[in-house]
Amino acid sequence: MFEDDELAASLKMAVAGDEEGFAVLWRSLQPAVLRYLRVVVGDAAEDVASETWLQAARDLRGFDGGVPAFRVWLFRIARHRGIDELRRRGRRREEPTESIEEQAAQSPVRDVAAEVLEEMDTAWALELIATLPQHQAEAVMLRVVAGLDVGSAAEVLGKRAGTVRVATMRGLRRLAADPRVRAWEGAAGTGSAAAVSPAEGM
Amino acid sequence: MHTWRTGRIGLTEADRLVAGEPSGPDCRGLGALLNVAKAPASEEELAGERAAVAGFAAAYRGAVPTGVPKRRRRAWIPLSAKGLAVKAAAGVAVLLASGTAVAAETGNLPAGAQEHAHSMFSTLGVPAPDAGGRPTGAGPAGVAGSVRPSTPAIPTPGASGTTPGPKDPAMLALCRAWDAERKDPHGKAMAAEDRRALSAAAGGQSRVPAFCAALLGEPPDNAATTHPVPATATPSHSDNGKGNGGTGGNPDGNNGARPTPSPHR
Repeated sequence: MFEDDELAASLKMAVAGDEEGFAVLWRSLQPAVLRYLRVVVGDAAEDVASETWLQAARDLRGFDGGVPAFRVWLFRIARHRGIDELRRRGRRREEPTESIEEQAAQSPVRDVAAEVLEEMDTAWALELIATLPQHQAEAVMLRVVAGLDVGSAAEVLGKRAGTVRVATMRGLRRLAADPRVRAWEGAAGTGSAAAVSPAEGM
Repeated sequence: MHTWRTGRIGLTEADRLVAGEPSGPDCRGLGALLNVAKAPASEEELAGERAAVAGFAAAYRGAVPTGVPKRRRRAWIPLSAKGLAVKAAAGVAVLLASGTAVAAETGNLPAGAQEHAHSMFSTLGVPAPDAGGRPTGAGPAGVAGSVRPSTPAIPTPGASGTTPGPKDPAMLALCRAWDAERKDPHGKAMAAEDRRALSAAAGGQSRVPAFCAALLGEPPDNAATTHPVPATATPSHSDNGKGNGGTGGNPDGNNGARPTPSPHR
């Protein structure tokens, strides 16, 4: 990832229409945009990310903020595009609580641990985060993956900073309690982690 | 309860986890999960760079305002409000479109109203009368008698703009029939298939008046002489530029055949 002051020059160039400047912005932010959208819209993430960048490209000329403001701006576009996509589909995300419980019921912790060893990758992590209630998932993604501070994430989400902070915390709690994550703890192979018990329920 | 200490992540601990600081033994799994979630970009994730840059070049050029002041940056409007506004404005635009067409034809449209209708068309991505994919050139510009204020009067690469071409004689004939029928309801009625064809070409029955007004509004011998105004209705502007419709006008797409709406007059 790029530091903000490196990006600042590219941002300025991109605002003036420079393609290389835009390419640098894209390389720096596309992964986070894509991952965020993966959690919000699933398989449509690539398409929605493209729409996001196109809209950004069209509106970039008028942009006059710094890099942090640009991040917020870009993720707001991504979020709105994502919500549009969800509306288009007219389909709601599955109810997260049930899905966690279902999956937990289906797979005993030990087996999950074996699975986890094979599947520890970004896509898997995003899938897991996507099982959170949407506002928690978004908060976690914006804070952790996009690297936005609380205030910026709150701006993107149109919520108050305190709300976002709590949503992040709850999301992390929920993830930490997920048997698959706990199994990972064991799989991470740090001795005492064997103490993980298959206790269920919140 | 011992095993559930992970369920007790507090705000401070959450902030630490977010920051990627080493987590306590109970959060190791979560820490690992978060690390993987923010792992460096994969090649696959960056595969679209060339396309993205090409899109940028086209979109950026497309957005170049020729004479429009720099203040194009739009205010953030809450999405729900936006959706409502779009729906409401789309309805109004449809209403205005038919009214506009009639008024434009009879020459008694209040200056500005036409432009307003058209700017809504374009801004909202409501297809302009000829955006249905037929080769009739001068449609939308004709309907509204103006370009959308913030739309550059240059061809827009990648946008759905069409350059004015010769009018489709078949459509012209259909519109004449439609117009004749409208003016004289007791006269010769249009054939049902003609009506359907016209409706399809116009993008819906309700758009026929605007569609035909565009075709018929210009003197037939004048068809090829107008400015190369791109037919707008750029779909990409669907939530773009709200709030600048009808202001800062730069209506340069007129050839004098219609009332010239100008917000400055």
